[in-house]
Formats: sequence, C-alpha cells, structure tokens
Amino acid sequence: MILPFRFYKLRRIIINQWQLIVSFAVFLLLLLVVFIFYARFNAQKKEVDLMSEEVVMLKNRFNTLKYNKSLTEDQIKEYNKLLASLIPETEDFFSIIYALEEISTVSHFEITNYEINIGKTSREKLTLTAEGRGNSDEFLNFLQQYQFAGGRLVTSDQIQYGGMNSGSTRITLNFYSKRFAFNETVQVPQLSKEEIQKLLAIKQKIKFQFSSSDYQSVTTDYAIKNDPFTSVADE
Amino acid sequence: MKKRINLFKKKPQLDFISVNAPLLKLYLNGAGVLVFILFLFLMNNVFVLNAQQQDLIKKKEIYLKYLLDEKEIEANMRYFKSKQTQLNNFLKDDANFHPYYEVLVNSIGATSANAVLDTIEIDKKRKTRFVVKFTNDEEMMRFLKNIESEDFLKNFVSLSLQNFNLNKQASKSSRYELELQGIFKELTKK
Repeated sequence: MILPFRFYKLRRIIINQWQLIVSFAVFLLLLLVVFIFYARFNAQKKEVDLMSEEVVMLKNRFNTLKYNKSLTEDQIKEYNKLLASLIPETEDFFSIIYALEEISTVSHFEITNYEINIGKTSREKLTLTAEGRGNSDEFLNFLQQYQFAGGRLVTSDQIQYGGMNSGSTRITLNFYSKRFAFNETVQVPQLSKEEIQKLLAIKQKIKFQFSSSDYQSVTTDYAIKNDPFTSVADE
Repeated sequence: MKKRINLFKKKPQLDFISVNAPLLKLYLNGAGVLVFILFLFLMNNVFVLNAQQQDLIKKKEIYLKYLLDEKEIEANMRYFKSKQTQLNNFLKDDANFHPYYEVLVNSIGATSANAVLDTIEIDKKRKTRFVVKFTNDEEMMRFLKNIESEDFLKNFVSLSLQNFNLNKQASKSSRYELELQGIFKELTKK
C-alpha cells in the first residue's frame, strides 16, 4: 500500500517534533484548567458579594439592636402604643369623633359641625372640614392643641377664622392611618435624643390615657408552611 | 540541452513546523509560563474567596442567632421607627398656623386694646387674608403705621391693603375695617 506523501510528512513531523506537540497539548490543558478556575472564581465572587451584602444588612440590624440604648424595650412598647393611637393601622371613625371632642374640650374652642371632604380623602388620609366657634384666645388654644390633643395625629392646611360667628370659622383637618409593613431590608437608624424628646412632648400633650387596644406588641410568630400545596391549618 | 541545478534558488518551505520549531517552542514556553502564572493567581484568589466565604458564614450565623433571640424587640423597634417616620412625613402636611396667628394677634394687640382681628384665612402656602376692626380712626392710623414698621413687615414676604370700610351703622367697636392680604414668611413653631 502506497501512502500519500502528506502522511509521510505528518509522521516525520510527529517523530521529529513530538516534544513541541506534547508541550502544546499541556499548554491547552493548562488553558482549559485556567478557564475552569476563572469560571469558578467568578461564580464564587458573585456568591461572596451577595453574602457580603446580606451580612452587612444583618450587621446593621444587629448593631441597631445591640447599641440602641436610648430606649428600653418597655419604653419602645409604650411609645408604640402612642404612635399606634396617633396613626392607627386602619381608619377608625369613632376615634376621629372622639379626637374632635377631645380637642374641643381641651382648647375650649367649640366644634359645632364637620363634614368629610371626599375629594381630598385618600387611603391614608381622611380630610374633613370642621366648623367651630370660639374667641381669639380659644382659637389660639385650638391652634396650639389640635395636632395631638385628640390622641390622633391631626394636620391642617387651611384655616378660616370668622370670630365668634358660628359657621364662619372653617378649618380643614386631616386624620391619618397607615399600615405597618415589616421590611427587614430597610435599615433602622439609631434613635436620636431629639426624636425621643419630640415623642415625649407629644405624649405630654395627650391628656387622656391613650388606648392600647390598637397596638398589640408586634408579633413575629407566624405559621410556616412546610408543604406549599397545603394550608397551614391542614398541617 | 544540458540540465543544470540552480543552487541559489530558494526551496519551497514544505515543513513550516520543522523549520520554525525553535521559535514555536519559545513562544509556547512563554505563553505557558504566563498561563501558569494566571492559574496560580486565580487559584490564590479562589482560596482567598473560600476563606472569606467561611468567615462570612460564621458572621451570618452569629448575627442570625442574635436576631432570632431578639426578634420581638427588633419587630417593636421597626414598628416604632416606621410609625415615627410616618408621623414626621404626615406632619409635613401641616401648615403650622399657630405662630402666624400669634404674630397677628400680638401686633394688633400692641397697637390698640380695642382693635379686633375679625376674620383670618391662612393656607398651606402661607397666603393670608385678614380683616381688622377698629373703634376709631386714630387706632386705625396707629395700626397702619405699625404694619409699615420693619418689625411687623419682617414676618411677611408681601402685604397689601385690599379694602377699607367705614360703616357708621355698625356697632361702635367695629366701625373701621381694614382688609389686608399677603404672604407670610416661614415662621418656626415656638
């Protein structure tokens, strides 16, 4: 059998240059290993970056708890009751009526009528226009007291004072309610002295004992499903 | 014709690898060394990352354990901060009328004991319109002088007299009426 010339040539090259060919094969192998290592390195780096972010978040939560010595647990619970009263989770009309009466009593400015302003009312804000009667001092008292004296947070963006004439003093009052959403990714900053002083001042403005029924200590004991296709009750 | 061989003529290169073998070996060795260095570098980084990962896992365990133990306090604290933020945000809706009203009442009181701040309107943009009633023209003139003073005007961005009424039929305490309109400067709560 006569083999083609090319074959002889190739055989001659292999015989003469086997070292070069082996070196090239080793080089290719090394290159492959480097690529594998690079892919692994990249994947691990992403994993470590992700974990670092997670650990930083956990560290912030840890530090907030560990070094937040401005308030004790009981004080926080107490202030939570106050805040839950000022801004309840859901709107409560009775507390609005009660708040209006309370503001009226405290300030001696008589609220004679009020109507809900549907146009300005939203999911978180209930706006009503109150009509009232009172002299200048009583009105001044009202302006000093209305924000917190009723046990609900009240803001106002328009007033029209008409002296002692009933019906000519009209005040726009906003009441708020908003749900608390637990979001562990949001960093809780350290509580400052100013913030605590501010809350203390609000607490002192509220003459009556605020109801604790709105606020039950925030619970973290919730049922966990083992099987996503069954209800918690079944388990 | 006699055949002759031209020795100066270049032969065609049939075997490139054989001819360039020394050069190829040199390049291959160079590239090999570089790739090997890269390999060592990557291996070192993978080991460093592994160590970092182990360290992070340990830290994560510590933090999670602490957070699990203190979950109720954390939930309460988060509730507290969330509601406090809501409170601060909602308070921005408030126009804070008290200092504005107080400024007017005090200014009028300082001018005359009998002058009355009859009606007043203030909105969130601090735009105001108010009516002051006087028993006589002397008190009214004194008030007009006062509102032109630096001390009074420092509270306003703008202030103008809109209307003047003289009602002889009205009761003695409210014969003279001045209606003013303007915009308050931002005053802080006392």
